[in-house]
Amino acid sequence: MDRSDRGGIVIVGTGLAGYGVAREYRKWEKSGPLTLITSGDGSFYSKPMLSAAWSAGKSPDQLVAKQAQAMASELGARILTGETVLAAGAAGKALTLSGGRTIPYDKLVLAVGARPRKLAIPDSSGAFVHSVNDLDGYRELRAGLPSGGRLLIIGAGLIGCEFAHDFAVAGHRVTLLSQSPLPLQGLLPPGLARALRSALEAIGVAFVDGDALQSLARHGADLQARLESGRELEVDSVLSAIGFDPEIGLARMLGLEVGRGIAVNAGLRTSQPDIYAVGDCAEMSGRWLPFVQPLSLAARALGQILAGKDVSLAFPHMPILVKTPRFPIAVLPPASGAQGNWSEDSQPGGAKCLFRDSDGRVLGFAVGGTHYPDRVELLKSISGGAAI
Amino acid sequence: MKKWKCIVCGFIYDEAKGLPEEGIAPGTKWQDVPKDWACPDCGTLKSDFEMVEADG
Repeated sequence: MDRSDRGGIVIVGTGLAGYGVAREYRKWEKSGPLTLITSGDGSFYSKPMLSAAWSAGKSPDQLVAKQAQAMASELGARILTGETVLAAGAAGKALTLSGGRTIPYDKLVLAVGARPRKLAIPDSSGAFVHSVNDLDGYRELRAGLPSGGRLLIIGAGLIGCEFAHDFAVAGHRVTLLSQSPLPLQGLLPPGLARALRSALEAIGVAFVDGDALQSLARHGADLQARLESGRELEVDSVLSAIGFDPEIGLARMLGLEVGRGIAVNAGLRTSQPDIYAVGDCAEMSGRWLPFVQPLSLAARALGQILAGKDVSLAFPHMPILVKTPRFPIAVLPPASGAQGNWSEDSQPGGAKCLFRDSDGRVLGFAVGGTHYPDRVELLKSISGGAAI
Repeated sequence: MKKWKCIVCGFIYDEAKGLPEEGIAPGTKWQDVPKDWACPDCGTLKSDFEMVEADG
């Protein structure tokens, strides 16, 4: 252990959550040792933009805002790159890294994100499948797809729909494979899901629904995808977007309480004192919200908490934004258990669905296309509790 | 008139243009944009915007 290892704040993860906490902490605490640990290269990039980079005309490298060294000097922090945590003893308050170092901490923050689910297909097929969880995965996907190439996307959730939109706009031939005929099932009311499907079809996305991937095989330059129905598709590349799960390995190593994600309270604290979790790896009071806005709010609160302030985080109404710029969508699902019905109002180019209770109060909404700007007024009225 | 950039996605708020479709009139200064306003592209908070040099 060298002398610079004085403990202090140690953050595992340098994604939006890890860097977000570090930045907020430094707003309140200018000195004091701060260490960030990442298995990657520590560059700060815009993860939400991975699924919208093509339409924004950005290459993977252009998504990098700052390299690790620049972040280290901006934050007054030590950033350890290419390191994974091999062992952690909560009692000893120290982490053992893959490079052999032991890093003691006073307060530990887990900002380790989530990992993509794996397709249930034979390993020999899995080798051909891309998934995008970080900039490197995105680079590989783009590098493996020729200009105008054929991309099979599996899963019509947020990630699947956003990538389908982005790659289709960039001139690729995209097939979107899912069980359900309606995209974003479970998030969007049917009226808006239909409008999104039409909008994606209008830019050339081909939907294949009620089917699933069984196996992949290489035939010369082509990948042959065999579906469960027996149907076969020839493609250049395959992207799996069937969802992701919080990264909980390190939390288990530390003996922390874990639900779907690492369980934290409104003070972002895990089941052990001096260990916190934030971002896609954490669930707060049982809610897992893998989106930018709750992540930003949590990072801001945790920065203050680490600086010794007494902060309790309460989330406002936070609409989820679907980054499909040809048909942008904002959706605020009604609270679970809320009683009411969806209404539907759609025209060519726009759709608006409202969830109202029996008194006519709006408790949730989904707006898309020409109705996308309506989210601002809707959000105000819901936050204010007014009937419209 | 100044411009402000979302540090997460790069969205630019231009004071001169405002965001009329969201009810923010052209010429609205950054400090007059509501505190609970969030980036229209990615949902990042107002406090996570930084000022960028005016293009002249």
